[in-house]
Amino acid sequence: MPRRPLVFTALGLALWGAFVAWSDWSGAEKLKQGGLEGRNGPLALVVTLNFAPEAFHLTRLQQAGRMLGVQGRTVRLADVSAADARALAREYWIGSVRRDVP
Amino acid sequence: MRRRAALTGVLGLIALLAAWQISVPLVGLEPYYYPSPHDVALAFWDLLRKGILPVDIADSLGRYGLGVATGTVLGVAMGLLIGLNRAVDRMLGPLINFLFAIVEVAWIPIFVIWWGYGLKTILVALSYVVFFPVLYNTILGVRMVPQVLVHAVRSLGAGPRQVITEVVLPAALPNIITGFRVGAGFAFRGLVFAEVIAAKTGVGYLIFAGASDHQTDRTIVGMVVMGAMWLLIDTMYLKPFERATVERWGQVTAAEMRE
Amino acid sequence: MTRWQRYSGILPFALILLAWGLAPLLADYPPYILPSLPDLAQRAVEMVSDGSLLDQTLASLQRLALGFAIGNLLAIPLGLAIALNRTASDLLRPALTFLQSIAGIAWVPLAIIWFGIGSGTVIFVIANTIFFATLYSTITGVERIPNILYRAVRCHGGSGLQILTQLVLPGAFVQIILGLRNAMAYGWRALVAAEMIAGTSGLGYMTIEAVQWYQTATVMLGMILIGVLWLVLDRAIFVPIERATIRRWGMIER
Repeated sequence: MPRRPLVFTALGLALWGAFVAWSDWSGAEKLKQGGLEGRNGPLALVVTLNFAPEAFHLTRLQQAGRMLGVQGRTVRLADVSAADARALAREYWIGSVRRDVP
Repeated sequence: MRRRAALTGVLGLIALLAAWQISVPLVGLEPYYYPSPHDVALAFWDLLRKGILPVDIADSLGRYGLGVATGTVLGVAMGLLIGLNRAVDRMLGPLINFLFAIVEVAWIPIFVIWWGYGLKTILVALSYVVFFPVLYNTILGVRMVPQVLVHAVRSLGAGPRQVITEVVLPAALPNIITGFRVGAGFAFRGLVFAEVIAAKTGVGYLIFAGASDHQTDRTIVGMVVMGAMWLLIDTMYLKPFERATVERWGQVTAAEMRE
Repeated sequence: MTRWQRYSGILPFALILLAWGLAPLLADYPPYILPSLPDLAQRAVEMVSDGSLLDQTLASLQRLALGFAIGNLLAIPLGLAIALNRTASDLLRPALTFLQSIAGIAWVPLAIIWFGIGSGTVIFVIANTIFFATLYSTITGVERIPNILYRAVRCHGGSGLQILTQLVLPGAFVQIILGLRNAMAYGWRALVAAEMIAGTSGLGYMTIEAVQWYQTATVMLGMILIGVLWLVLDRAIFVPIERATIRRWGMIER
């Protein structure tokens, strides 16, 4: 069994694992700051990106919930499940996830 | 000696990049036609920070891996069947040669008609591309297994499955790996084409979307990433495996023969 | 060999044709999934008689010829230069290896920006693909010449030019010819793919256009023709060349 693929794969997995762990942690942090910790059920969110969203991001956000509107860097979503909210918070290009007060 | 060559190589790359950068104001075209290395670097950082590039790379790699794996498994299985059984070879040989002649690129339109745009079409196309090199090389490897070994193992009471797993496959492994490497190369090139026709994410898609969005710098990022991905795949996985099996098994066979 | 053994290869084809012919009677499906054999034949006759088949084929072949010529004319001299000059080789090899991994289709968008949709882009992509393929085989061919032969030629008072014409070119000839055959295979694929994405005429274009109109018969005929044409080009051009040169001079054993 050649060594180089093993070392490379191991390194890759380690880096990826570290990234996943960091994403989980920072996602939980974002939810905490957004007052969404531990909340279930359909949520209404205000998602703020670090930049103006592109088609890629809008598509991704629409997978999580119903898009109510886009203003500058913020997007309002409705009917987002708790799991989807957690998934969104983990994305590193999302700055903050907060409760939407309509 | 090799270090000096490597250093010159790096120098060459830097020189080319510098020449490119300098030529931009000289050529005087807008970035849409002729982006500079600086533009490309900025675009690379932009795509990275916006989370687009990692997803594209992951999607492309995922499709690539699945397609290559499927094509390889099918190619080895069929290769064993055809290589070991003369009757099957005579019956299926012409059909397979005929299918091989119809270039994989030519199959994409009919795949799209049958399975539409999306993952299935891409996977079928990639598997198809990998299948043939793996198949032909497996057949070659299987045919080259010295019959002495097969008879020896059989006389010790091995059943057909054991003959395959303990004699034929190991002996044919160098050829299989070579076929795998060739197929992996074809599949990588085919990946771009397949993504253009049938996907909405991925490095190939990025290359094309960049151009149609008038973001040529993104297109070039895609091309550079593509080249880097292939270099990594080839140097980290394909070459080591090929070197390992060809060296190791070559020696083992010779040693066994001497006994 | 028994007669069964010799002709058993026809069986799969026969079975497929049989299944194809009977399919409309056995199952219910829209005609665009699988045109019936008579429909296919009818479409074939149409395409031949109204000349569209010939037009598209010629258009494709023209581009292939042009791209093939341009790519090889650039690659062979450059390949020779790189293989013979250590500095040039060290300087350029890494960059060229990198570029080779993205040769071909990845350049289509850039080519579209530069040349627009149409023949220019297609020819560029073909030339690009063939350039890198031939470059690689030329360099390999020259590198395979044993060093000792260079010394031998110089011993006999051979000049630089004579080394080139009497040693390098004949020595690398086999590899270059094989490389040309390989390059054409790649070039054919690049032609079809580029026409599908950025062409305005030609077999690739014809085939992918038919998808939009669900004209599966055209798609199938296009597919088959693309395959057959490649076989014809390969066997008709390169086999005679190999036989006349390589095999005659006994340079390789097949």
